[in-house]
Amino acid sequence: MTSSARTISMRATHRGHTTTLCAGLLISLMLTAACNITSIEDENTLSSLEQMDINIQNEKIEDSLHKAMEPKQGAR
Amino acid sequence: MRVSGSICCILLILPIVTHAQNELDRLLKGEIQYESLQANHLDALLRIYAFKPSTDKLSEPGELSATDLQLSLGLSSAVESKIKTRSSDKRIQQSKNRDAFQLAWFYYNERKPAQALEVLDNIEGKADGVSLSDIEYLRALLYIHAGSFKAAAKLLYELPLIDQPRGYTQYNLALAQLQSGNEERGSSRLASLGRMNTSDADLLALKDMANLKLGYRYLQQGNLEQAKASFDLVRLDGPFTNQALLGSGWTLFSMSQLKRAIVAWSLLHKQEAINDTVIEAKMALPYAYSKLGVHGKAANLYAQAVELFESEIAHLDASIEAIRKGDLNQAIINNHTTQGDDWFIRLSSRSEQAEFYLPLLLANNEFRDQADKLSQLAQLKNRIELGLTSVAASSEFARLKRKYYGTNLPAAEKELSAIDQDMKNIIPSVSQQTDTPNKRENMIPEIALLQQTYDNVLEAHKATAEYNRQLPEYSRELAELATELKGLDPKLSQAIANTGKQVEAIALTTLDRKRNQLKSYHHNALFALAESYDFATGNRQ
Repeated sequence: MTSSARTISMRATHRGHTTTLCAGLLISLMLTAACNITSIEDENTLSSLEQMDINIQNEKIEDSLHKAMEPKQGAR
Repeated sequence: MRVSGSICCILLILPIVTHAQNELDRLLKGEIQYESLQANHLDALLRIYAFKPSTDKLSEPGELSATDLQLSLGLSSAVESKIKTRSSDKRIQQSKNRDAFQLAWFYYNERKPAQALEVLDNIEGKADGVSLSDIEYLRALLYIHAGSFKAAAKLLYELPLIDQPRGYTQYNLALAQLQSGNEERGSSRLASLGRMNTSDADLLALKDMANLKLGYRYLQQGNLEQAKASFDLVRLDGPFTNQALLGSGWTLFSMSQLKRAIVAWSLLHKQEAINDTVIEAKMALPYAYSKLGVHGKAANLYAQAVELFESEIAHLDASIEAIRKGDLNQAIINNHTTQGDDWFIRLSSRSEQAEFYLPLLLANNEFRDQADKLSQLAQLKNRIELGLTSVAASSEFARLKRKYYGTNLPAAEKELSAIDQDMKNIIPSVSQQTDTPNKRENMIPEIALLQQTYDNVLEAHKATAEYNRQLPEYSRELAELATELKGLDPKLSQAIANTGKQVEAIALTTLDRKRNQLKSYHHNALFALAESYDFATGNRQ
């Protein structure tokens, strides 16, 4: 093998290694990002209360309260 | 040849001796660690003192040392005097510097920042197992406590990242910056701490705390959107959930999102535990309903709140009465058998005990200090009482032994003289047969065994006689010890009484304050109830 052929071959190998490394790094970054997103989404924080629906309805005054308020009403 | 032989011998024996010494040290360290974990700091310290020759190896950085134990017992003056003089020996001085650092932490925990700073300022040169960053971090915390926020922020900012104790430095730095008026930097630091990604339980709690702090800060400033965003990041199952729900509710209320505020407050409202946050929610929730014009619901909720406050006030009255009668002190004293420093855990889990509002009382540092002291004094009194029982048992044992020896020794001596004579008669005749008088190796084996047994009996007899001779002295020493221990009892009882009074006074003040707060809530709830009732029943438009 000539010197220039050896250099090309080495460059090719080097490029191959670089591509593998880059791909590995990219995958690990993507995995990390996915994990992060999952962990943030999975976190049970107060923001999840936004999803909670509440039905605001009036109530009848309880009988016990009417009774309790009677003497006070009379006193008034 | 002989020298090299000796060296070989030493080299062979050395690992065995070192191994044995290491084993002994390991056992000793384990024993000290065990006693310390059981909160028997005094016993652990006595173990260290008893094994003084090998204690040099005990005070390696990170291991329990005499200083640790002295400080656990509150003996700061002993450590003060230890570090007072400087040593020309570099190793000793480094160890003294470590003691000084530990003493500074002790004063920090005792909320004595000025004394702690004085100790830190006197540290010159290196300290065993303590980095410069450790010292500077403590100094910054002390500055925060002393109110020198700017100086604290500067120190914390300059700490090398690698030496910073996880997120705590960031949190303390943010607080120092906020307190020193550097709002922008402090808030942004808290915000970045509040967004960190971690699965560590401690750091998650710190993250919640940062978001909570920031949320309330924004709420006070009227930055409602930012406040909401910060509260939203707090976990629903963390230690700061209640405070975050309350703050989030007020933020949404201020943003006129009353229904969303009701969601947050409803979660708090349904909790059974009665604490400041829940109590505030008991008032805030019906208030939000009344603002929405849902007066029937509001009136019913106010009525529940009134009922709850009345029952809580009655409960507080009962606790105050029980504390006045001395029940709390008695409960702490009776709890002296509890192992460990956390005496209150066992006390609060006892169902038969009256409710003393321990969580509320223990949140008061002054109460905690005095109650800890009372518990320790009670444990000490118990130890002394047990010691007196042991001394009495030992004295009785000595008396019985003296009596026994007094009766049996003269007879045993007579018997021994007779045996002695018999031995003398037997052995010369045996010696003549073997031609070498009294040489045990040449004796008939049975005779040699007899001689050996006889020698042993003589030795034992001598030891017994000596022991018997010393028994009166032991008895006298035991009597002296008993007198000394008994002499401690009145002093200890007095100290327990004085500390008990302080515990009682602090507890009563705290509960009284709580009672007044509830009275005020009760008063407001009654007025709000009347108003909502009137609106609901059409008496008011």
